[in-house]
Amino acid sequence: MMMQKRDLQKTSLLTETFQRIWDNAGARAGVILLAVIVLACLGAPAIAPYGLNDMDIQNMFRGPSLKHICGTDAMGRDLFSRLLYGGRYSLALGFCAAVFGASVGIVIGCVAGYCGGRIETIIMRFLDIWSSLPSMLLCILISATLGAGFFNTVLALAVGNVPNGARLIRGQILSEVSKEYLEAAESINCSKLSIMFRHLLPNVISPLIVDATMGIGMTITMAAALSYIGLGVQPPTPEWGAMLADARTHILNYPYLIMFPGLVIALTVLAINLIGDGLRDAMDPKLRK
Amino acid sequence: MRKNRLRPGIRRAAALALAAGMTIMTSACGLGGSGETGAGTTAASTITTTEAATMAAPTADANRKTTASGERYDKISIGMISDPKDLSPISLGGSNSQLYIFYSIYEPLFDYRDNNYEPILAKGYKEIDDTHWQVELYDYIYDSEGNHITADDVVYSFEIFVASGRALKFDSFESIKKIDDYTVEFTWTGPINSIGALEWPWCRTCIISKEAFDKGNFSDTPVGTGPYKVTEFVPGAHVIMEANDAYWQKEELRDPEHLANVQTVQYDVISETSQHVIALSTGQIQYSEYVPSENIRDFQTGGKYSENCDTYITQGSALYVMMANNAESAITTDENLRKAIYYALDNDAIAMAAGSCLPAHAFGTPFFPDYDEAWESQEGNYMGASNLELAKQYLEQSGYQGETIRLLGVSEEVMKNMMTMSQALLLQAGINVEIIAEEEALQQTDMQDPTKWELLITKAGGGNQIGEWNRPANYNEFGTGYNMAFIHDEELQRQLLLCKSLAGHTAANMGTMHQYMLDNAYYYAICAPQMNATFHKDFATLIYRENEFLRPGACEYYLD
Amino acid sequence: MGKYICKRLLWMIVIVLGTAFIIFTILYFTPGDPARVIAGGNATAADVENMRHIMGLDRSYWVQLRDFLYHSFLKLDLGNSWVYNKPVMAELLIRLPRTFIIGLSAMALNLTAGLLMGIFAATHEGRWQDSLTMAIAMVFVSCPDFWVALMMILLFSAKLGWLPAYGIGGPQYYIMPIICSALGGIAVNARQTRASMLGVFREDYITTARAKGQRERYVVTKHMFPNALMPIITSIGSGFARIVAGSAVIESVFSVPGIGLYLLTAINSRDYPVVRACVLFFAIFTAVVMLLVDLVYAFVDPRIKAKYSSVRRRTKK
Repeated sequence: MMMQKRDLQKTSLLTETFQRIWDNAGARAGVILLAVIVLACLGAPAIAPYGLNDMDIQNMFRGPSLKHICGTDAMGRDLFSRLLYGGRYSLALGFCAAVFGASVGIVIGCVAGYCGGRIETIIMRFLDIWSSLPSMLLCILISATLGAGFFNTVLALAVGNVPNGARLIRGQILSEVSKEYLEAAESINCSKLSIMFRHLLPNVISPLIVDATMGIGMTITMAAALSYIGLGVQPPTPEWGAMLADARTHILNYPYLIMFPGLVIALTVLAINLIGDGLRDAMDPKLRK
Repeated sequence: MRKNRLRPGIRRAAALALAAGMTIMTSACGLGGSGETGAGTTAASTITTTEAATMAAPTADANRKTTASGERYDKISIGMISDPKDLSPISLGGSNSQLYIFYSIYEPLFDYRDNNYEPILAKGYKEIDDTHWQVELYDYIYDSEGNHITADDVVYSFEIFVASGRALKFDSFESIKKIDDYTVEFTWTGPINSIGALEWPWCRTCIISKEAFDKGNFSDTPVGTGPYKVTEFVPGAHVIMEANDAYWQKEELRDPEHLANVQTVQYDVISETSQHVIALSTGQIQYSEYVPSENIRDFQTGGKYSENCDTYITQGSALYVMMANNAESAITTDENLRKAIYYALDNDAIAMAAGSCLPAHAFGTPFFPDYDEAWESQEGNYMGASNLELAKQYLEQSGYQGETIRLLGVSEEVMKNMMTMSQALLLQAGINVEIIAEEEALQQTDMQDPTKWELLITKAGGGNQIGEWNRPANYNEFGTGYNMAFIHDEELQRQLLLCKSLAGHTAANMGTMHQYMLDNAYYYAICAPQMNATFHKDFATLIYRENEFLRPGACEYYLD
Repeated sequence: MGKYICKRLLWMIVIVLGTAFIIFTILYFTPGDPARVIAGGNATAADVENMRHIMGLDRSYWVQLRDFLYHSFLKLDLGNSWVYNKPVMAELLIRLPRTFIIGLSAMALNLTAGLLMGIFAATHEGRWQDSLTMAIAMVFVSCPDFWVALMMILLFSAKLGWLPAYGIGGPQYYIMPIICSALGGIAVNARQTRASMLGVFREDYITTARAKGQRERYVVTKHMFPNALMPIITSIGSGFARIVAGSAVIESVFSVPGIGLYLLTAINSRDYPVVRACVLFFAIFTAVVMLLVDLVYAFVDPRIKAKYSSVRRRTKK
C-alpha cells in the first residue's frame, strides 16, 4: 500500500531538477559557492568590518593585513567591505540584465515562432540586424547614449542578450509546433495568447533557462568591462568592474587592488557557470546517465 | 551503479578545488611582492609648496662632454598618453600630445615667453597706429623641403587657420594683409591693451608654405620650418622626427629653444600610465610625464629604477577649481550655502586623494609670477583650512533642507577621486552630494546647462594668473552673458577687465579682485597638479616651452 | 545552392542598410555635441556654432541621413574622420591587419587547444582527466579577459621582462594579446566539443561501428567527429565574430592600434564618421562570417546541403 502511494506521488519539474542538480557534484559546489557569495553580499552591513565609504586617509594603499583583510584602496577604504557591498551591484546588474533580456527575448521569440508567416520573417530579419551589431559594441554605444547609472547600465547590458534568447525560443517552438497537444488546444478554442504562454512556453523554456544562466556570468563580466572603459556606474559605487578600473594605474605597486576584485568576479562567474552546466544536464533528458 | 555515480562527482569537485586553489595561489604570489611596499610606507609623495617651487631643473655637469660641444645625441624616445591624431597646423585642439610635437616641427611668428613676444620668424614688430601693426620677416626662411616662406605664405597661414574654426582667442585679430614680400600688416579690432591678447594670433599660428600645403597632406606628413621634420607617423602608435639639417636660421641668430641637439626623436603612444613605468625601467623610453605618483619614488635616489633615471617635479600651471551654480533656479544661489560648502571642504585631504597635487590656499597657483601669497591670509579665505564648525553655522543660516546637490566632473581617475573625497567631506557637514562623472564630450555639453549641476569641478589653466581667472569669470567667454558659474556680475567683470589690461595688471588690483571673489564665495580652488617629469640620466638639462612642454631638441645631453 | 547564396547576399545588403540607419539614428540622438568636442575646451559659443556649420551638423536629420547613405553606399566614400582629418576607409585598411592578426591567431589557438581538450575529455568521460580538463576550461571562461591581460603584463613584462607591455612591432608584441583573446574561446570550444562528442557517443551507428569490430580511433575520427562537428562550427563562427568585436578592450589594455581601439576613441571623441564606418564594418563582417558558417554546414552535412538547394515554401495552417 505504502509503495503504491509513493509511486503515485507527483514530482514537479522543479523538484526533480533541483534533485538532479544536487546530485551533480560540480553543480553542487557551484550552488554552495554562489550561495556563500550571495549571502555574504546581502549580509554586508552585518559582516563588513568597515563602512562602505569609510575613508582612513592615513592608511591609504595598505596591503592585506589583520586589520584590513584585503588591504585598503586609494582613499583608505577597506577593500573587503567594498567587495561585499559591491557584490550587490554586480550581481544585481548581471541578474537584472539577463532576466530582462531573456524576458524580452521570450516574448519576441514566442510571437515569431507561433505566428509564423510574414510576422515571423520581419521579426527574424530585425533580429538579424540587431545581432549583426556585436553585443559589446552595442553595450558601449547605448551606455554612451544613456549615460552612467544603474538602470541605464542594465538596459545597455540587456540589449545584447535579446536576439539570442529570441532565436532560441523560436527554434524550439518551430520544432514543437506540429505536436498534437497544440492541435488539441486549438480545437477547444483556446486563444492564441493562452496557447502561446500556457501550453507552449513551459515546454520550450529549458534551453533558455540554461542560456540565461550562462548569460548572467557573461553579463557580469561585460559590466566589469564597461566600467573598465569608463562607462557604467557612477562613483563611489563599489561595483567590481569599477574597482578594477580604478586600480589599473596602481597595478605595479599595489597589485592586490587588481587581484581581489578580479578573483571575486572569476569565482562568481565560475559558480554561475557550474550551476548552468548542472541545469543543462538536469533538464536535458538525452544526457541522463 | 551508485559507486560509479559518486566517484566522478567527487573527482570533479576535487579538480575544481584544485583549480580554485591554483588561482588563489597565483594571486598570493603576486601579493608577496607588494607586502614590503604595502606596509609602513606613506602614500603619494606630496611635497610642500616651497620644495616644489625651489626644486631646480637639472644642470649640466661641467666635467662631462655634452651636446653643447656641437655633436648631436643619437636618439631619444618620449612617452605620450594619447594619440596626436592629426598633425596639420590648423587642427590645433587642446591635446597635449599635439602641443608636444607641433612646436618642434612648426614655428610661429613669435614665441610667448614671460608675457613677452620673442621674435622667431619675425624680426620684430612696428606699431603704425593703435590698430595697425607691421611685422617684418626674415628674408631667408625656408621650410624643411626648401620652399621659400614669404608674406604671401604668412597671410595664407592665418587665413586657413581662421577658416578652420579652430582659431580661438582671435578676438583682437581682424585681418592681415601683405605689404611687401617680407612685411605684413595686422589690423586689430581695437587697441591692444590686455595681457596675452596676441598669444594665439602671434604665438600659436603655425606658418607654413602655401605651395606645400596645397600639394601635400599635412595631417600625415607635415612640412614646417622648425628644427625637426616628421619622418614617420603611425596613428595610434608613434611619431618619429629627424633633425632638420636645412634649418633656415643662421647659427649665431638661432633661438636657443629652437635647437636640434638630438638626431632622432620618437614619441610613443602609451595609454596606460603603469606601462610608462615599465617602459622607462626597461629603457624603451627615456622621458615621461605620466608616471603615477606612487611610482615616482622608484626613480628617485634609492629607488629600484634610480640607476638610469631621475625625476624633476615642478608645480604645474593647471588648477582644479570648484564653483557653484549661480543661475536663478539653483539652490546654490544662497551665499550661505556656498560658504558652508566651501568651509566644509579640506584641500589637504582632497589633494591626497587626488595624488600628486598641491593643495591650494588661495584662488590661484604659485606657478604664475602674478600669484600673490598675501591672498592666502585675506579675510574670509575659505581655502586656507577646513573649518567644519563655521560650515555648520553657515549651513544653519542657509535654507538648506537636505536636498541632493549634484557635483559634475569629468570621468577620469584624478577627478573621480577628488569628487569622492569632496562628497565624503560634505557629508560630514550634513550636505548630501550626488556625483555625476561624465565622459569628456558629454561633460562639456552639460557644463553649459544650468539645470544639470549645482557644483562643478573643472581644470583651469592659462598663460598667467589673470588668464587662469579669465575663463571661469568672464561673462563674455561663452557668448551667453553668463560666465562658467552662471554669474552675471558687472563689478566682477569690471575688475577682471581692469586686471587684464596692461596698465591695470597690478598686485593691488588683483588682490582686490581676489577679495571680492572671496566675499561673494564665487570660486573655490582645490589643488594644483604637479608635473612629474621622469627622465633618463643622459639628459643634461631640461628645456621647456612656456615652462610646460619639453623641447627635446633644445635640451643638452651627455655624450659620454 | 547558388540560389541560396544569392538570397543570403541580398539579405545581407538589407541588413547592412538597416544597421546603417540604426547606427546613424543612435548617434544622432546621443547627448554630447561633437562640434564642441572638436572645437576644444577653450571655445566660445560662437566658435562652436561656427564649427557646427563647418561640419554640417546644423542641417536637419533627414538631410544628414540622406547625405550619409548616399555617400556610404552609392559613392562608397565613408568620409573623413573629424578628429584625424583623414579618410576613414584608408585608416580602417591600415588597422585591419593588426586586429585580424590577433583575431585569426586567437581563433587558431582556440580551435586547436579547444578541440584537443574537448576530444580528450570526451574520450575519457567520467574519469579524472575529464574533470580536470573541464575544470581548467571553467576557470578560463570565468576570468574577465582584461583582468587576465593585466595579470599577464604584471608577470611577463614588469616582473620577468620577457615580453613588451604595449605597442606593435615584431611578433613578440602580439603574444600576450593573442593568448588573452583566446582564453575564453578555448573553454567554450572545449566544452562544446565534449558535449557534442558525448551526444554522438550514444548514437546507434557508433554502437554498430564498434560491433563491427572497428578500432576505437577509427570510430572516433571517422564517425564521431564529423557528426559532432556541427555545433563546433557554429561556435567557431560566432567566436571569431566575438573576438574581433571584443578586441576593443584587449587593444585598449595593450595599446595596439587596431579597429577596436579606433572605435573606442571615436566614441569618446564623438567622431561619428569613424563610429559609423566601424559599426558598418563589424556588421558586414559578422554577416559574412555567418554566411561562411552556413556554407561550411552545407559542406559538412549533406542533409543541410539538400535543404538549401531545394525550394521550400513554408506552409502555415
